[in-house]
Parts: sequence; C-alpha cells; structure tokens
Amino acid sequence: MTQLRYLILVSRQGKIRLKKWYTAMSASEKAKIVKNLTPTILARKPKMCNIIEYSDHKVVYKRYASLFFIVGVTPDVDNELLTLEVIHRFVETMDTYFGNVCELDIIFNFNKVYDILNEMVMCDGSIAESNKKEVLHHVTVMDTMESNDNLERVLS
Amino acid sequence: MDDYQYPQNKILVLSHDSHIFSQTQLLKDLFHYNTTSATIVKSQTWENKYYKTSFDLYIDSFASLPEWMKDFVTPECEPLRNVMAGIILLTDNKLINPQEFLQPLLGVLHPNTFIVVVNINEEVEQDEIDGLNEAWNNGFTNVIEFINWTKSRATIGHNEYGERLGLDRIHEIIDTHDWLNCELQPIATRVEEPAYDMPLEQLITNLQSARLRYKSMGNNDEADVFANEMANELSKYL
Repeated sequence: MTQLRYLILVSRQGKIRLKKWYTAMSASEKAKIVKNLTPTILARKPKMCNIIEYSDHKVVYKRYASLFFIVGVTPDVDNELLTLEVIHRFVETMDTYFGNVCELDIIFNFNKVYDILNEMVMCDGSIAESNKKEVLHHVTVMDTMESNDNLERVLS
Repeated sequence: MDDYQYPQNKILVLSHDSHIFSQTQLLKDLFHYNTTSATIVKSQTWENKYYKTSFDLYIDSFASLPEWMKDFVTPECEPLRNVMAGIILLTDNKLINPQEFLQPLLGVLHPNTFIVVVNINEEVEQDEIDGLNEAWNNGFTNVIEFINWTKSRATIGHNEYGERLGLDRIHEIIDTHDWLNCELQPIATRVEEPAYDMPLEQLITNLQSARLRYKSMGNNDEADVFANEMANELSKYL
C-alpha cells in the first residue's frame, strides 16, 4: 500500500517545476514544506541517504540530471524503496514520452507531465498504474482525443 | 515599480585580457558568433524547439577582476545590471577565488540574472567544480553555476546524474532561463506527436466538409487561414 503525500519537482537552482499534493493541506503548510525542504535537499551531498525525516513524515528524494524529485511519504504505510521505484518509473515514462526528457520539456509541457503523473498516482496518493506501456497508452489516447477536438473545432 | 519590467535581454561574456582566445572560441561555439573587435552585438537569436528569443551580446574583458567588479557594482551601473539576463565569466579557477567576485555581485544583481563561471584551466578537475557548485547553488535567488570548459574538450558529456557538462550545460542554463521576451515556436515543431488513426472514409468526409466551408467563406484572408489550419490538422492523420 502506498500513500504519497506530495511530489515536488525542483531544479538544482531551487526553482519549482512541478507540485502535486495528495493530502489536504493549507496554503501556508504547503509553502512551509517547499521553503524548508528545497534548501535541505539541495544542500545534501551525493553520497548521503535519499531518505530523510521531516516533521511528522518521511521524505524520499532522487536526483536526475539537474532535477530533484521529492516525495513525501506516510511512515509505517509507505515503503521508501518502493517510492524510489515510483520516482524512477515516473522518470522512465516521461523519458519515453518525450524522448530523452529534459528540464525544458517539463517546463513547456507541464500539462503532459501532470497527465502522466495522474495516470500513475491517484488523487489520494496511492499507485494507480505501474505499467509504463499502459500509462503511455492512456496519455496517447488523451492526445488523440485532444487532437480530434481540435479538428472538430476547426471544422465547426 | 516591478523589477521584472526591465527588458532583460542582454548576456555579458566577460574574461581576462589574457583569455581573449578562449572567449572568442566560446562565443563561436555557444552563440555561433565570430567576434571581431565588437563589444556589443545586437539582435542575436537564441532558439530551441520551444521558443526563440532575441538578445544582445555584450563582450568585455578586464585586466583586474576586482577593479572591474568595483565599477560594475556602483549605483551608476544599476541600469546596466538590471537588463542583464546573464553573465558568463571565463576564469582560471586556480587564480581566482569565486568568493571575491560573487559576494559583492550577489548583493546588487537582479534576482533573475544567471551567473555562469566558466573555468578554462584544464588542470582543474570536475570534482573541484562540483564542490563549488554544491557550495554556491543553495540559498541564493540567482542561478549560479560553475562549469568546466576547455577548447580541447568543448563538450565533456554527462556526470553521474546524467546532467550535461561543459558547453551543453551552459546551453541548458540559457534554455531554462526565465526569458521575458520569448516567442513560442509553432506547436508542430515543439513536441513530436504520436501518429493518429482515422478511418479513410472519415478523413474524406472531413476534407469535403472543409472544402465546402472554404468555398462558403467570403473573406479571402480568413479562408486562407482556415485552409492552413485545416491542412495542419489533417496532415497529422496522413
């Protein structure tokens, strides 16, 4: 059982590229998490552990190129190593969709990145789909539908 | 007045007088600009698959960096600092202490201005550069990055995280900069969209509907726009 609390994608320079909250939190709580976690994680050395304790929960993070994927997990419910696998699968899926994904792809296609994430993780933070092919298939179907809508719009 | 109203579209490439050859090489490799003796090159274009933007290239050199920095941080230079998208400084990391020039600069620089310190000394190891990045990439609003770049190893590849190094990384920093004046590229060139399926009958019906609509349009300009849009949409299915 996985119960993610949030996922934050931040660049090495501390710029937030994506945020997704899976538990109800006030805006100030969210801001506090981002403000506290970002410098803490960016300051960590490469050989340090990818799991840290923060407030009443644990935080799992992993760096890919110049981006840090930060995930808040529920203690005693989530498996931290499984969370690392979820992050990796998310990156792999984006990599396949964009073809060697980079920070620029995420900045300019953030809606697609959210679509991929929404296919993988449900709104309560539990894993919906771990199969990369399935996730990509659903996202491609969405793209096709969107394109058909555009065609209909042009014709109408 | 909002700080972000400044037209931040200038990149300053700065080096020591003795590093002019490296500066020329960097300008050629990064901006495809063969410098002569120009110090300001206007209306350059930075382009990638998502956007293109116009910027001015400012080229300068110094005999003494502390002296140059002393002038640059004066209130008289504030208008110049405010329009800087980024500063690319070519240095020999063995000779210059980053603390000396970054500390005064950070207090006065616009928060949206990036600073790239390019080491051109081949004896400096990547580990040393990584150490500097770890020390300087936290707690500042400005993007500060140290890069190892040499003429003989223009592109060094990737580090253990798959992050680009050398010239490619400078490219990436400029790409991901918050340009205020960028123009988005047409959607077709941005994401390689997957092939779409549509039955042939449906495609022909759509073409016929489009033809009728085109014929019924009185305004020629509007009809041409419609025809182009239609052609773009339908070409995805062919």
